[in-house]
Formats: sequence, structure tokens, C-alpha cells
Amino acid sequence: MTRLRALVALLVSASAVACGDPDTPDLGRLSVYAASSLTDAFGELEAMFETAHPGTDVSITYAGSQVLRLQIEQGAGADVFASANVEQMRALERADLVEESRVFAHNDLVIIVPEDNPARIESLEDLTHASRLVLGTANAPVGQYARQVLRQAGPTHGEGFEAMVLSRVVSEEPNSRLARAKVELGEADAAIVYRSDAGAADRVRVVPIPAEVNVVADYPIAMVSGTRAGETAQAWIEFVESPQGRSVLARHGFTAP
Amino acid sequence: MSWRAAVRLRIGSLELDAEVQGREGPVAVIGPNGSGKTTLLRTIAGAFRPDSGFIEIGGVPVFDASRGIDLPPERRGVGYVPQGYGLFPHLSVIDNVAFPLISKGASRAVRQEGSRRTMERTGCAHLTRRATHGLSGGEQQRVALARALAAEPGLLLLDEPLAALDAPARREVRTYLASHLARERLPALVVSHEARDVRALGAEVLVLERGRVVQSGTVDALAASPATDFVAAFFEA
Amino acid sequence: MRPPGTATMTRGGGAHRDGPGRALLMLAAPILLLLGVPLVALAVASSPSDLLAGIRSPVFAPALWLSVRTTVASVAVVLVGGTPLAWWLASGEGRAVRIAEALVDLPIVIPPAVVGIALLETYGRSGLFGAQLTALGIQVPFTTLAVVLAQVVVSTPFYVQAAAAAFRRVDRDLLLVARTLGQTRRGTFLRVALPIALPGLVGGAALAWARALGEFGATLLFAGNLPGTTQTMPLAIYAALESDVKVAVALSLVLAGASVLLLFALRMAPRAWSAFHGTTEEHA
Repeated sequence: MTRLRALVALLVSASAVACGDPDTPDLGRLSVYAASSLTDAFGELEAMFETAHPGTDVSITYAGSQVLRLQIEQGAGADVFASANVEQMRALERADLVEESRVFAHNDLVIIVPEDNPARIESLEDLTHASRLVLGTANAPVGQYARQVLRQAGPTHGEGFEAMVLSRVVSEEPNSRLARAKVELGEADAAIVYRSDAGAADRVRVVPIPAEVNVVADYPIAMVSGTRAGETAQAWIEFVESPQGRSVLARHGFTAP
Repeated sequence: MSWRAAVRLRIGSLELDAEVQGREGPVAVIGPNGSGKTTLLRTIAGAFRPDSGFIEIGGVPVFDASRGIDLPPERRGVGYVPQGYGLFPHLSVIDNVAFPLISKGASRAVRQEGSRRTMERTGCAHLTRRATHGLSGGEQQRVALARALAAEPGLLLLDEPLAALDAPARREVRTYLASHLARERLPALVVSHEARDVRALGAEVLVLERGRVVQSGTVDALAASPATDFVAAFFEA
Repeated sequence: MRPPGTATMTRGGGAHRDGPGRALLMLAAPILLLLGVPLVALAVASSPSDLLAGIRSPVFAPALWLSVRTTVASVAVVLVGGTPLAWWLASGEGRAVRIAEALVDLPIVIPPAVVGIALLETYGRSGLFGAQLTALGIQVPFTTLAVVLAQVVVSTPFYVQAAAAAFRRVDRDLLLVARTLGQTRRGTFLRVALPIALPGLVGGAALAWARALGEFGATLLFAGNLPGTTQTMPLAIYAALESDVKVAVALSLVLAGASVLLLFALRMAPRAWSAFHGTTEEHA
């Protein structure tokens, strides 16, 4: 009987959550949609923010920025959006779905290879003889940035460089973390991911990309239009941009704008 | 054309320990529910392996525990007609009766010809073009019997051949069965629960109770001095 | 005439005194709506021109062709391996059978993503067979073979369960009769058990095919996502969502349509079979 009572209590409280009063602003909750490359950094910021603002519950959804953009377009209940590139943010700005955005961090790309480096990748050039390269999809920011790097390497690495490397791709992952996972599992010879992801990776080695061909990824953040947690959202954005926020981001491989 | 079997077998809660035999013509097996009649038939057919004993059909040992002989059902030369007749629903009547000839390697045309002849011999030729699912109980019985006979078995095993029939069909099939068994001079072991059927078959009777033979003899002998209450009640009707 | 003891539930027409009353049916209605409305919404979501644009998009044809190729191969593998397995499960007894039954049921309860990870840990470079496969020059992840493997794993239970149930419904007496009429065990299986169980087997195959067609999680993790090689329809839909929602809807409509057709075939098969062969077997 106690088990039944517990299940009923769970059911009741779950439905109470689902049927919140739509007219009262919910100051205690904040829903942040963030690019998956921000997982570790924002995770830390979440804990710090909740401590500094007792009674606030921050919930963060991580995914490829293109997926999050789509969800916001479809009316998902996000209060803040932090994207890994400006393209996804601009799409939402144009549709008046977010307020004006600001770039709060930079990231750039690196190549990661498994610990034992089976394909002997030591430089960007070596990617042409990797047999199993993993990139982000053409729509994921990390995938777009990677292709940009390959294009930008044309002058220095030869005309057909981009095409040759792309022919080595065996899988396109929807976000940088999944691409990293393939390298961690030893399945991929190499992947192009964010520097911030490489730091926390398990059993991988980093191969740097020459600065002259590398991209600077701009991470914009904005409040979602029509949010009922406006005050809290503003507080979050300010916290991310504060010196405290910056130092956390820096520790996770991001650079300040 | 004689046969005999002495088998011991434990299956579920039943302990079968029976010795049976016969020559040309039918032997009837009667007994209360759960006494092992169907199990006995299935064992002789080869579905179960007895723990000990032997089975001999037409002088050929098909099972002998002491000599390590255990022929599979397809090599025992028995014809088995279960309760419900066991007609193959996916085959027409003529293909059902022709089924035994498949293992003899005959072509479809030859098989169907053989099938037609068997059905004429057994008086169900009028059913050749039918499908199995429209047949009455009596018709199914005839087809099942024709099919079993087409295999030219050394021993027929019939499980309650008249059980699912209504009274008129029953009378008709009873006569049919009795006359065919007599004419074909085939040894047969027939499970029955109706005294009239047993009398019509003119059979030697075996009484099985709780897996053991408790009495055997002619119908008159059993009716005159029944060994158990069941036998007494059986022949009272 | 039916064997004694079988009940018949007549379908269609007339009030059923034993069926659900109005109150109980009210509970059923929301679920029916939940199932039906989204499909209708999907159908009306695209205009014909959107649908055409979606079909013409470069991701459509390779994904469709890949899905067709791989699912045909998977279902073939499942049929060839699963039919004898189902027959064994239906006719056998003992601990080995029970263990095999549990094993076959597993992929239904294990989340597809977990299946994907498990397959990686088995056939991946650093997996259980990694060293041996590499030595033989065989690569499994990121190949079409991996897609087929993932599909086989997740769809096998659907076929084997249905097939075993169909084989169990075959009257044991018929099998014994066939043996006494001269057939070996194999002959009995091929000539009696298989034909009688066939409608159930076909139904199971359709279910397995549908499951293989819709497989996503295990494919994404184990086989990867590369147009033309491993990007099946479900993966293509997911990718299309990120670029052009209209294409995603068109792909979804095609996949939904194919599944509905499969279901239709599944429902009609037993009836068509009965009409053709004149049997009384009814398979729900």
C-alpha cells in the first residue's frame, strides 16, 4: 500500500508541475539552451549561480546549436540561448524570437586523435591519409567551422586539400561531443572539434591547427523573446559575462571576446 | 500380421505400464479419462520414448530398450489418426490422402492417382475435389482413414474415431469402420469410450486404468464379469 | 466443423453484450486520437509542392535506397536465422530454450542507444573482436554492414516471437501424423509446420521490417551518419531537421506511408491467405 501511495504522490506532483499557473511569472526557474561544447563550463556556472541566487533552479539543455535553434523556432520554452556560432543566433534574431545578442566567448578548433594515434596524424596535412575522419554535420556549427578551416587551408595546403580531407570522412555527427566520443572510443582516426572539448577528453591527443587557417568561433548569447523569467535571464547573462564567468570559461578552454 | 507392445513410461503424473497385443482386426482400449489411452497410442506411434520395454509390429521390432532399438515414427509403419482426425488444413482432400506417397518419391500426378484409388477403395471418392475445411465430421473421418491406409501401415492407431460425431454420423461411420477394418484385415488399436462402438467393432477389449491394464478379454466376458466399477458402468449402457 | 472446445468471437456488426461499455470506451478514445491525429497532421503538413521539393532534395534518394537495401538484407538474415530458432523455441523444452528465449527478448527492452554502444564495444576497433577484425582487414563501424547488423539485432525479437507463437499454434498431433505418414523431422517442418504457420511468419516479418526501417539510435552510434553509406531514412530526417524542415517533413511522410503500407499488408495477409487456401486459421 505504501508503494501505491508513493506512486500516486509522484503522479500528483508530476502533474502539478505540468499544470503550472500560466499567468504568474516563475522567478525561481530558468531554462537555458546551450551549445553542447558549453557543457562543462555552463555546468560549473549553473552551480555557482544557484548558490548565489538561492531558490533559483537553472536547467540547461545541451545539444548542437542547430537543433536548439529549431526547437526555439518550434516554440520550446527556453529563456536564454547560447549558440556556438552567430548563424544560428541571427536566424532567430531575424525571426524576432530572441532579443539582441552579444558574443560572450571565443573558441577555436583543434584536431584530436586517439591516444595511440593509429593513423599517425601529427599535423593538419596528415588528415589526407586518415582513413576514418569524423566531422560535425554540415549544419552543426562545429561542422561548419571545420569545413571553413579546410577551405582556408587551400592556399597553403594545396587546391584539392579540402576535397581530399572530406573524402576521408566516415561519419558526420550532430554535435562536437559525439564526434569527440568516436575518437575517445578509438573508432575514429581523428576528429575536428572545439579546443574546449579537447581539454576534458579522455585518452586523446591534441594536434593543433595552424593559427593562420584556424577559425575563431564566436559564441553569442541572448534572451529569448517573451520569456517570463526576464529578470533571472538577464542575471544569468550578466553572470556569464562577469569576470567570474569569464574565468570559468577560460578554465574550460574558451577565450574572452 | 500381428503386433505386440510392452511399455513402461512416466509422463507428467501418469505412469504407463501396459502390455498389449493383437492380430488381424481391432483391439479396443477403454478406460477413464487420464488413464493413458492416448499416451499409449502416441508411444506406439513413436512420439514418446518408453523407459523400458519393446514394441513389435508385423514381427519387426520398432522399439526395444534392451537392444537399443528405437525407430523414428516414419519408419514404424503405423497409421495414426488422432482425435480431431488430424487433416492438414493447408492441403486439399486429395493432397491429404496423397501425403504418404511423398516420402516414397512419387511425382504429384502419380500421388494424386494413387490417392484417388485409395479413396475409391474406402468409399470416399466423392470427396476428391473438396477442401478440408468444409467437410462434416463423418467425411473428415473417412478422409483421415483413407490417408492412413494409403501409407499401407502394419498397425492402425485410432484415437476416439467416433467421438466428435453426432448420432446419425456415428452410426454410419461405426458401420463403415467395422466393415473396412474387417475387409482390410488390418491390425488396429482403437480407443473408444462408447460401449456400442466397441460392440460393433467386435473387438478384443483392453481396459486401462491409471496407466495399467486391469482387464482384457471379449466384450461378453467383460460385460459378464467386470473387474472394476468402470467396466461395469461401461457395459451397462 | 471446428474441433470441440474452440470458441468463435464474431467480428463486426451488432452490439456485443460482453464487450466494453460506453464508459470504458471513453478511456480508449484519447489513445486512439493520440495515435491517429499526428499521422493526419503529418499528411496535411506539406503542400504537394513542398513534398515534391523534399523528394527532389539530394538527401532523399540515397537515404531511401540505403534504407531499402539494408532492411531487405536485414529481414533476409532474420528470416534465415530466426525461423529455425523460432521452431526450436516452439518445440523444445529445457533450460537452454528458456535462456535463448530471454536472449531473444532482450533487444526489445534495451534502449537502442545502448544496443549501439554494445555493438561498438564488440565490433569496434577497441572492442572485443577489434584486434581480430583489424587483423583480417575487416572494418565494421561506419560501414553499411554495421547498419545491417544494428537492424538485425533490434528487429530479430519481433520476428522470432511472432514466428514461435505461430509454430506453437500448430497442432502437435498434425506433426505426429506427418511423421507416421513417412516424413522425417525436417520434412514435417517444411511440409506441415511451415505452411500452416506461414501467415503468422509473414506478420512477424512485416513487424521486423518495420522495426528495421525505423531504427535510429543504434545506427547513429554504431554505424555513424554518412549520406549514401550509413545515413538511413530516420537519420536523414534528423539531419534534414537541422537544415530544411520541409525536407524533413517530406521524408517523414514517405517513411510513414511505407510503414502504413506494411501494416496494411500485415493485416490483409492472413485473410488473403485464407481466401486462397481455404483454411480456417485466424491470426490476429
